[in-house]
Amino acid sequence: MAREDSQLVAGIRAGDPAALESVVRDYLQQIVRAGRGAGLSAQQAEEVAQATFVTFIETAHRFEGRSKVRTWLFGIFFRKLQEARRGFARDRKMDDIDEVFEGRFDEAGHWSTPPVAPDAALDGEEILGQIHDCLQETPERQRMAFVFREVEELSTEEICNILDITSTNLGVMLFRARNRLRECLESKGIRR
Amino acid sequence: MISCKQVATALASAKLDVAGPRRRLAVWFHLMICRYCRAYARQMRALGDAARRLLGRTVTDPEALRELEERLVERCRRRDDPTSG
Repeated sequence: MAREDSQLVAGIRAGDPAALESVVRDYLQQIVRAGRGAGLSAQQAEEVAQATFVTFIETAHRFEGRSKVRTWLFGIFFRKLQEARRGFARDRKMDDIDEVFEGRFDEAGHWSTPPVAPDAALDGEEILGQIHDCLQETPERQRMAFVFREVEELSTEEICNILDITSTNLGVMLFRARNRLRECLESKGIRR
Repeated sequence: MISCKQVATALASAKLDVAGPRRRLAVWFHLMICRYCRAYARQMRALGDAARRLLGRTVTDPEALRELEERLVERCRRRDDPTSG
């Protein structure tokens, strides 16, 4: 973890190589992992990470230290990710997962199609390949909201800053991501 | 009485993080008596666990990561050196 002290912030702002270098060393692996979480290949994840840090180094003088270094970096990362994928379909406003979720309840809000038994093998090895495939099928913002929350364990405030969304919006993204993943895994046969 | 749908919505959207104590208690009580919602809650937790395990082990080849790190560190240093391009 990086020291978030004023010395580090001053060093970053001044373009001090030692300060910039410490940020690279502290966060490179996390940024590459986030790229993998976004469904990029290892090579693509490295390219996006490189673009992220190059921009970070070039714009370091603009870092004011109001947000954490990590938040600033992930913000750059997310923009680079979007640039790298430009041309992909944007998230739809209404999402079919909302209807799927609705369809699982009766009018009183009771389960009409309950989730499968909790003993289903969600902790086994085979789940990893399946969750990888299901993550690929999840729209970008939802997937990154999920990865930032569950894997990188960022705070609500940080995630909202990075994705430029409100906390209500983040709730919707997480709701959709988790239900989509759950439905996807269930359809792949974890019910056995 | 809080419904299954409300419980599931709260669990999936992380609304419980900001919910008041009364709401949390209602969800907790509901989970005590509803096995379907318990299954759902367990699956929500398991999704996070599985994603952490998956991404914890798919990190890039350490050699490639080290090379990239060196390239970037080099760039940090060059930034300070007026003799380099």
